[in-house]
Amino acid sequence: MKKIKSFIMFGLCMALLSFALVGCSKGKKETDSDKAGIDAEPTQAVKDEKEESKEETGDKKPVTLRLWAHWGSEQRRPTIDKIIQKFNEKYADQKITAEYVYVPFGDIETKMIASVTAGNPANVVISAIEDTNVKAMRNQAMDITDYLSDGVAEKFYEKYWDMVTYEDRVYAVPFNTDTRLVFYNKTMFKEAGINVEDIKTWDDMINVCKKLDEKFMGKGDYMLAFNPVLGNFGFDTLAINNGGGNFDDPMNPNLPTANSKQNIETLEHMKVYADMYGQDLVQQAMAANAGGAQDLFLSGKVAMIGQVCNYIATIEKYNAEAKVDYGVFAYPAGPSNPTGEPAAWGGGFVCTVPYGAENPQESTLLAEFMATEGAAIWAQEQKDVMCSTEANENPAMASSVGWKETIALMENTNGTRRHPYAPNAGQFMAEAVDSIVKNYTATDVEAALNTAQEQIEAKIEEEKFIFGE
Amino acid sequence: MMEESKVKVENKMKKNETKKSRNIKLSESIHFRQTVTGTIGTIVLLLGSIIVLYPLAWMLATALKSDAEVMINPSLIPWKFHWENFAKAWNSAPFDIYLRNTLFLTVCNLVGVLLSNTLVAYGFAKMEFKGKDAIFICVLGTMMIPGMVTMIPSYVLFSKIGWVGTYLPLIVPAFTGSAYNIFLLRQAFMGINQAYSDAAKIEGAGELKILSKIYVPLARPVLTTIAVFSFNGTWNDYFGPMLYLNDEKLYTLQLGLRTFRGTAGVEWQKFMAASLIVLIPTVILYFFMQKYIIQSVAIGGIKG
Repeated sequence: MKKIKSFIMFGLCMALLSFALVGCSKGKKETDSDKAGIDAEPTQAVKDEKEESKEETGDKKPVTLRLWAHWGSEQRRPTIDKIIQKFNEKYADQKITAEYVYVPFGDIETKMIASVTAGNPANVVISAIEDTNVKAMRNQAMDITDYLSDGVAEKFYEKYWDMVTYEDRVYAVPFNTDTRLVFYNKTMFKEAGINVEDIKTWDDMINVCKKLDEKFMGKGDYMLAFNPVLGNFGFDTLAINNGGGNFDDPMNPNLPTANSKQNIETLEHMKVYADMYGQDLVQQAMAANAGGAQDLFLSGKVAMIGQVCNYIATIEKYNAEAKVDYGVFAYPAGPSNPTGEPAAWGGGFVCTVPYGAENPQESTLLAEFMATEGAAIWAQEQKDVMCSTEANENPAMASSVGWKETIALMENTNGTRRHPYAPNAGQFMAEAVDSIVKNYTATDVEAALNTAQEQIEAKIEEEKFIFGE
Repeated sequence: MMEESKVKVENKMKKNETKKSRNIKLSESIHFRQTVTGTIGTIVLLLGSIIVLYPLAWMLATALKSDAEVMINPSLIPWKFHWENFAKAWNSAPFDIYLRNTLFLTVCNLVGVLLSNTLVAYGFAKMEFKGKDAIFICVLGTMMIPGMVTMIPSYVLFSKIGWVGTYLPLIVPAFTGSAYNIFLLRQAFMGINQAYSDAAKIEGAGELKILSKIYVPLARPVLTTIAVFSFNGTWNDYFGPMLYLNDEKLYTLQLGLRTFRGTAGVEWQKFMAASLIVLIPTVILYFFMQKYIIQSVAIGGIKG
C-alpha cells in the first residue's frame, strides 16, 4: 500500500511539473517578439528594414496575413470581405495578401490569448478598445509605434488615439466606436403632451416618466416609461454623465472611486426609477426582454429606452410591422456634471497586432488600412460611428434619424480604460448596482458602493502581489 | 340443534358479507388511491413535459416568425408561418461544409472513443499486471482536473507540434481514452462471468478474440451509451473547434451557429431555425438508443 501511495504521489508530481513547464514556457513567443523588435527602442535597424521593404518590393517574398474578427453575419460579412478584397488589390504589387477568419463574438479574446501564449497568433485581431492598455501591459498586444505610417495619428479623433496609447507607445489602431442615447416614442410623447426639448435635468426625466405612466399605464402592452437598467445604458453612462466613474482617471485609471459623491448620486437617481416601478414590474420588464429576443421599445412596452447609437440599424430592420415613430435625445447631464453638457460612455473596437505576430510591418499596414480606408467602407455600409474622422464624413448618414444627435454627443462621449490590475472592476460595481436596482437585495446606496470600493482595492492589491509589485 | 346451526350459518354468512363488503371497500379505496396517485403523477409528468418542451416550442415559434415580428410578438403562435426561414438560415453560411466537417469529426471521435476505451477498460477489468490499481487510480484522478485548467497548456502543446489549425487536436485525444468511459466499461466487463473467458481460452482464443467475440457483444448497452455521449459531445462541441481551427473551411456546425450572434444583436429567427436543424440528429439518435442507455444505467447501478 505504501508503494502504491508513493507511486501515485510521484505520478501526480510529474504530471503537475509537466503542466507547469508547458504552461509557463515562453518558447517561441520570445523569439518572435525579438524578431519583431517589440521591447527594443526604435532602432536604426528596424527603420532601415522599413525603408528597404518599401524599395525592394520586387524581390519580396509573398506575405499572407490573417485577420481575426467577429463579423460573420449576413449583414456584416459582405462588408468585411469587401474591405479585405480592397486591401488585397491595393497591395498585390507588394505581394501582401490578407485572409479573413471569422471568430465567434465573445470568444475572440480567449483565442487571442491562447495563441499569443503559444506564439502563433493572427496578424491582426479586432478586439475591445477599453482593454488595449491591459493587453499592452501584459504583453498580449505588440508595440507597433515604429511600424506606423507618418502622421497616421492625425486621421483619428484624439481621444481614441489616446485609448490605444500606453506609456507613449501605440499598441493598436482604433476602428469603430459608439455612444449611448435615449430613443423615444414620438407618438406617446405627443399624446402625453411632452416636448423633448424641455428635458434638461435628471428630475425632468423622472417627471416625464410620471406623465407617461399616468397616461399609458394599464393600456395595451405598455409596462413603464423608462428605466436605465433596460436596454444598454446601465450605470456607466449615467455615472459619466454625472462626472463619475469607477476610477480617478478614465484614461489612466489608478485609484478606485467607486463610492465617490458623483457615483452615489448616480445610483440614488437609478434607485428613484427602481422605487417608482417596484421589483415585480422591473423584473417583469427584464423578463419580457427575453435576453434580447424581444424588443421592449418596438413592442410598445416602454416609451423610452437607453441604447447604443447603432440601435438605429436594429429599428430600421425590425420596424416594418411595429411602425414606431421614433426620435433620439441625449440623457440630460447629472447635477454634478462639471460641464453641464450631456455625456455618455462609449465602447468600440480596435485593430490589434498581437504580441509575437509574424510580419509586424505588414500586420501594422493591414491594421492601418482597416481603420482608415476600411473604416470608410464600413461606415458607408454599416452606418456605424468610426474612430477615423474622415470615415464619419458620410453624406449618406447625415439624413438618418439620430445621426446629428449621435455626432453631437460623440464630443462628450468617453471611453474608459481598464485598470491594469483590476480589469474586471466593473463586475464589483455591477454587483453593487444590481443589488439596489435589479435584485432589490439592498437599499443603502452608499454601503453598496463602499463594498464595491473595498473589493476593487483588494483586487488591485492582490494582482499587484501576483505581478510582483 | 337445528336452530343453533341455522344461527351459526347465518352468523357465518353475515361475517362473510361483512368481510366481502370490507374487501370491496378496501379494493375501492385502493382503486381510488391508485386513481388519485395516477392522476397526480400524470399532472406532474405533464407539467414536467411542458417545462422541458417549452424551450423547444419557443425555438420553433421563433424560427417561424418574420424579421418584423420576431422582436415584437412574444406569443408562441406566429402571425404568419415563415417556413422559408429554415432554408434562409441554412444558406446564410456554408452550413453544408460545416455539416460535412462535423460528421467527419464525429465519426473519427466515435471510432477513437470506442476503440481506445474498450481496450483500456478490458485491461483494467480482466488482465493482471503490476501496479494495475495505482494506474487505475491515476486514470480516475484525471477526472478531477477541470478542462479550463488544461486549456492553455494543451493549446501550447498542440501548437508546438504544429497541430493548431488542423483537426488533429480534436481527434487524437479521443484515441487516448477518457477516465469516465474507462470506468464505465471496466464496471461492465467486471460484471461478465469469468467462465466465458476461461472457456474461450481453453478453446485457444487470444485476448483480442475474447474481447471482440465475448465481452464487446455483452457490453453493448454500455458501449452504445458511450457512443451516444461521444456523438453528442463532438456534435455539440463549440470550444474545441473555436480554439484550434483557424480556417473557416474547417469550421463545424456549432461555430456556424454563432454567425447569427454579433455586436448588433442576434438574428433570432435564423439562429433558432438553424439550431433546430442541427438539433435533429441528436434527438433522433436519442429516440433510437434510449433503450440501451436505460439498460446501461441499470448495469452500472446493479453491478457498479
